[in-house]
Amino acid sequence: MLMKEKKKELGTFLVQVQYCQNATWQGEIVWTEKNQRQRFRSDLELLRLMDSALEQSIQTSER
Amino acid sequence: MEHTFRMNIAAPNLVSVCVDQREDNESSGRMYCCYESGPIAFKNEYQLLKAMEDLMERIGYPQSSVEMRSYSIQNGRQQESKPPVKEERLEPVTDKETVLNQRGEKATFLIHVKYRQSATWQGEIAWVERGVKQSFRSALELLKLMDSANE
Repeated sequence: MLMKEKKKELGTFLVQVQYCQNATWQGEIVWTEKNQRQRFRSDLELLRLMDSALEQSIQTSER
Repeated sequence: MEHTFRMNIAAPNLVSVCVDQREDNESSGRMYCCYESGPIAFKNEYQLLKAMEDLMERIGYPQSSVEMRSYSIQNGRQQESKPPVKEERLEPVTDKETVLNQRGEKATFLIHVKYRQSATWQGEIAWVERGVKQSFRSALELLKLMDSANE
């Protein structure tokens, strides 16, 4: 079997930035694998949402 | 060491960010603060943001005006997305001068997050080598300011 470069598919997100207030972004993010939608109020919150989803993906894939 | 900017160096959450390398548009280096005995290494900007957020959560300064949303497991097995916070009273373990005297290979920034409003950060960042200081209204703006120092 030909070994191609290892690619881990940990998560796919749809991000819609709806507003740019307070020098940051606000909008919605959808974690497509779980079909979960959340609103984010800032740059940090967007990153935190993605991070928390990916942590769960990693935990699930390690089992 | 000559300061040409004024900064509140007495702030408990003051951090010194020493950028040692810049590769593929990512900065890596060390972060210093009074509550750690040594440097906290970061490989990219995201790790730096996480380290700063962890520090502010641990010392409770400044208090965030909102609690961050996250994707938590909803099937009843695990409700919290992070481990319970230990009720420990943190004490400074490094003196301010040691933190202020650190230097990065590429650049050194002193960052004081004054407020955590609107689920993001507001404060001041000083580029030590140039002796200039700027305010930032969000973590995004902070990253853009750090980035502009590389040009």
